[in-house]
Amino acid sequence: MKLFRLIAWKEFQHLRSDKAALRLLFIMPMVQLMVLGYALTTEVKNTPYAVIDRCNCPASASLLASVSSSPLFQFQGFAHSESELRTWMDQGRIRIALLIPPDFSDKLESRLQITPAGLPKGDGVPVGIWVDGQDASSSGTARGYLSAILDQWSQQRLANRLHAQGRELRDLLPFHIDTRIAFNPLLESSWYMVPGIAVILITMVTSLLTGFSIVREKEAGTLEQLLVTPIKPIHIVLGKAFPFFIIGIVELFLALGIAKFWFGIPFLGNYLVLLLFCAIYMLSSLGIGILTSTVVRTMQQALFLIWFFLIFFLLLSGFFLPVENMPGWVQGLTHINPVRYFMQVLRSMFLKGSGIQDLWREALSMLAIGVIVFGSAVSLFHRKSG
Amino acid sequence: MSLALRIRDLIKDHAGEKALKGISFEVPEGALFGIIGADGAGKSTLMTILATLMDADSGEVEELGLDLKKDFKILRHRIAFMPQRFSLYPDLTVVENLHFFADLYDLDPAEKQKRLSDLLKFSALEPFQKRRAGLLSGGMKQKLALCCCLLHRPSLIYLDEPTVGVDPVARRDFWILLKSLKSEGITLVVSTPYMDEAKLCDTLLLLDHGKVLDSGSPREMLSRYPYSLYRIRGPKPLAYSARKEPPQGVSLVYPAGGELRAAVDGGMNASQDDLWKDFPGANASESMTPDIEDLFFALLSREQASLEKTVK
Repeated sequence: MKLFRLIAWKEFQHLRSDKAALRLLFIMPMVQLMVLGYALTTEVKNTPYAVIDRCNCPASASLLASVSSSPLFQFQGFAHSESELRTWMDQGRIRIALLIPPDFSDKLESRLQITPAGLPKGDGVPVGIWVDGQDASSSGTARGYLSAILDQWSQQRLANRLHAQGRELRDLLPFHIDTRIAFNPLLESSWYMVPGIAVILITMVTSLLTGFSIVREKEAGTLEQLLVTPIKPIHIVLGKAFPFFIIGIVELFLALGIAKFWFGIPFLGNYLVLLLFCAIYMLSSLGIGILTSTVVRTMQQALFLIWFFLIFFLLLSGFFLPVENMPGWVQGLTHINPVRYFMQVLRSMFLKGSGIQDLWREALSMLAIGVIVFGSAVSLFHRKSG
Repeated sequence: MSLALRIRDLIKDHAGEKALKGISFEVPEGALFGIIGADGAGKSTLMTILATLMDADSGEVEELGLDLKKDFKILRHRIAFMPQRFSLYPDLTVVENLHFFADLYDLDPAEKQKRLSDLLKFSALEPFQKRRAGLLSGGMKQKLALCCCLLHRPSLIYLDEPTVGVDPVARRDFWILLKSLKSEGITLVVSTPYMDEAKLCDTLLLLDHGKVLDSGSPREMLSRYPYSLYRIRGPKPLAYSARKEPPQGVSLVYPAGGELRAAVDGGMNASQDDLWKDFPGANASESMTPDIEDLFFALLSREQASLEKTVK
């Protein structure tokens, strides 16, 4: 215990004497949190679009007005031909295009000739949408929005016509949708992203710094100097990991403060439970740092290897992309990803106020992974250093 | 006399190469023992093994009467190791470094205070106590490292090239400290690539490519020098080509400072006053007494010759 305290004291001295690094350690993540909290949004807005309007009639003008009044799309101009449209898409000026046929107005009118017996037979008016499919996910979303706007416009037309005949569209539809959104009623993407960014920051800081602090002693030869003394390797590892454990917790609560007071995201969970989960989680993140430091010799190697792990952990954590979207075997892999569990824990503690009774499975998984990672890191460190 | 160190057939493959190819030697208690060899001779590997930081592949080592493999934990209380590089914390002050290592050895507070002030006096680091270790000069860094090794009063200290990269005055100071430690009865094992430091040791081990070339006291070893040695001078620096066969009767030619040295087979024994005539541009030659460096070259070339013979 005394030797553990001694190493931890020394580690704090290193931190204290490197004031620039200490400032960076706290300021950088906070800046990142504030910038990324706004930047990382899955919402698709301001999609640039163009139109070929071959009808050029009041009906098409009304349709286009409904699109251009939406903040989701940004009008780039009328194209005169499909090849012009294609050029614009090639140049990246537009991501989506709307093609209105010459007989739009006529077909629409004949389609809306509703008699008490029902709708006239035949197809609806073909309106074309061209999509730049490079970014599959956001193009898909933009296409969905555009179809929804167009659908709404045509429904409105139908409703107006029925209304003139004394009937209501609402009464004819087999059902209508009543949406209630739980936990994040305004669907603010920052409410979802900020807790996720906090997880990433804590993961990076604890794993990289712990790894670096051990590898630095390796590079400097001070580790050898420590190991010829009677100190046990376990004391070295625990003493060196401890300050970063504290830093991780401080960062977590700083991030929590920013989430609450800057972004106005409610934290509904219990702080002590959060502390417990965070401690369990850091077994893994600190363990990755230590594990890496046992197999590499230089800082560069450490940085490279830890990043290699982190990229996998982060992308397979459900941070950007829901785990449910991934192929089955990848989903299987995510079960050994500690970041995935902590991501889930922090997000649901924030927005749902989940407690141990809801999250004990995640806690146990993190504990199991943590014990294995940290345990093998310590034993490998032991073995490598005699 | 009892032995501080007894080594039998030590073998170690390190980084895919045979770093130590079966080394045996003994170090008497209280000796100032020098390990001499070029870079890559295996000095550091040997030191790292003896300092309990690495296991040998095979061989026996008895340190202070204890078995290195079995009793390394006890040994760590009784030995010290000063690695080649400066291995203290540059962002801690001189005193903080000393306190840290004293606490690692769990010295009691009174003993610690006394040890610290003694060592600061001994190393003349007293005026620099509050200075960060990283800001010390090369010589002072090495002194501080030595002090950190001495805190727990070890009986045996390994120093791996302690004076490399240190200026000549600081080197001399450092060796004065080593001499005074020897007078306290501490066994010191020092490796060095500097032949002039070899003379300061009382026993030497010449190491080359993981093998022992020779060992003994400097005087003893020099008495075994197999050639008659001549220095050959000329007005201009003499042209020397290692590839050219040396003249008849000369076993070995090599440059040293501004002159050439020629080792002549002892058997010839005739006056070699006119030896210089065999060397273009030379105008004088005279007999000289060999030092450790000359012995080292002689043993190396012999080793090589016998190697070539076995290859043929």
